[in-house]
Amino acid sequence: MQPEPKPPLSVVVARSLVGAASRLVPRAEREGWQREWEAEIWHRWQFLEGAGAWSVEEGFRLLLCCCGSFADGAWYFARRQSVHERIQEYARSPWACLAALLAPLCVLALATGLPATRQLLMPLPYRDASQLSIISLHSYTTGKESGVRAAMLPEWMEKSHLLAGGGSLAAFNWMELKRDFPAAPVKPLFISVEPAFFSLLGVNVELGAIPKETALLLSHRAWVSLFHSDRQLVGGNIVIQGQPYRVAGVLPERFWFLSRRPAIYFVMPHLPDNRVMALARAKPGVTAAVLEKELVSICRQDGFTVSATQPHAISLGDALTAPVFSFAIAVVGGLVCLVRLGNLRTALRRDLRVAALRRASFFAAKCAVALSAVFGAGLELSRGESSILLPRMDSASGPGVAWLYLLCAMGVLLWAWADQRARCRVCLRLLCFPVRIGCPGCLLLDWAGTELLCSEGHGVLHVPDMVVSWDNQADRWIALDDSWRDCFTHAE
Amino acid sequence: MGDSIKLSHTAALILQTVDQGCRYGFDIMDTTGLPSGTVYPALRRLESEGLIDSKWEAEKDALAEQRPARKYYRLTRSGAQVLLQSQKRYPLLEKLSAGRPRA
Repeated sequence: MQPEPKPPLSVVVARSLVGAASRLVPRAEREGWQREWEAEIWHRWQFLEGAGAWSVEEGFRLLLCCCGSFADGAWYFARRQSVHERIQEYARSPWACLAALLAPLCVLALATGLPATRQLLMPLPYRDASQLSIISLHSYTTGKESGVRAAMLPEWMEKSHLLAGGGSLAAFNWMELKRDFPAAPVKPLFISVEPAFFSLLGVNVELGAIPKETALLLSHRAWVSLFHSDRQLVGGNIVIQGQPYRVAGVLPERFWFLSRRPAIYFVMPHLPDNRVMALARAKPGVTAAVLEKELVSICRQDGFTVSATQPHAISLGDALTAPVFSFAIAVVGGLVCLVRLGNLRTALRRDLRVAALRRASFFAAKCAVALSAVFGAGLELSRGESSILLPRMDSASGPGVAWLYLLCAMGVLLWAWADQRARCRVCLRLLCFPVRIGCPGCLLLDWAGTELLCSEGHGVLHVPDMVVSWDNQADRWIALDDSWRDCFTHAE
Repeated sequence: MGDSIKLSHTAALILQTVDQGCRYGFDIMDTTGLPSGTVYPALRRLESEGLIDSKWEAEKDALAEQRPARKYYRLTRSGAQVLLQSQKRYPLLEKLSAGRPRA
């Protein structure tokens, strides 16, 4: 046969379609099937070419004809095995394992929208957020955070060299107002702030203006959920605790501060509380720990420090990402557990010899998906809508969740390793057809255990009932060569 | 075998087309106007039921004409019996391709 002339694009695409559809045809019949289709494509193209009738329309018709190769391949696929066998075969495949792990993650994402995870992944909605820290008073006896003395703030402003100049410290405080908005779907958060608070965060209002005198600013969510996005509200008054307050503006939709809850900010020139939390902006490159050190030393100079309590600075970014570190520590703990309990070192040495890149990728993907599901579920459950993202108030970074993460991470990693051992070393399908072999009482120079087989005929796994002193391998993989292929033609 | 098989109208049409000399899939498609996704699975099913059989043309013949070898289909004896039954069942079938000579 003389060399084929350069085929037009439609012929190339038609051949690709047939090639893709051939994946549905069992391997034993694939070559003949593909040859038949390709011969038909060639003849159609050459016949029309020879007759001078080849055109773009004919190329398109040929492509449409070749789409039928999928239906033809599907006929072979449907004939190959019973539905039950096919489901079993699919359930053993590595893809089914990954799909089963991804499914709860997708359900969780669809059901909840993963608000806490999105909050974690999105950048903080403040200008130069890495320079911002929250200053509170940490008690070493109770472990609780409370407000620092309001009188300390001017001292810090005056004496600190690490704060970013004038207006780099603003007081705020939570307000407990229980009677207002009882019908609101989510209880709003009431926060009293100084006017400098918003300029410190680098946030501007969406509607209205930031007030200089006492007035209210609404978070976008509070404006929508409590006041039905009423634009007339800005400039008007609302009554809280029997007192009328002017609504000066609405904050941008993306803005949130320490909680996703709808928030009402009471902007006051001077907070009435003796103890307040402080928002600080440090100079670029100054960490929260360094800032804390300086603020503590200023307190000591002024004689403000009590031995059991001390000002504590935490950066806003750290407050948000604290659960990530708890989880990372849990994963490391799980890996240590896996190395100790899973006899991983000897298994890895043996495994690496068996061309393990694909196996390692599958193991990594399996662990990553399962650990992500655990972390996502833990974060969404512990960091609910009402939580406030400060370490001592945020249950997502508390010890309970950290222990839960540790147990789950250990469980996931041990399961992933056990699942890995029970899979074919070549195609990663779960091994099947377990057969008991030998007598457990006759271990002297004999072997007792279970043999598992790859349904594709790649090999057999010997799993001993107990590891004997003369053969300390936990399980042994025996690859089957091509001479066994005929026994597994049903699998193709 | 052939006595117990009842074909659909489409399968009977394809069987008749093969009987009338259309020996490969694209030819059957052109004659019947049926899409490839119908014709090819029907050919497989008819072949698995023994109503038609297929044969690759000799490789040397194809090489001599500098083209790839083609797979040809033809009616079996039981296929011919089933076709006769189908023509009684679907009287319009014979008229549909009456103009085309038998192979």
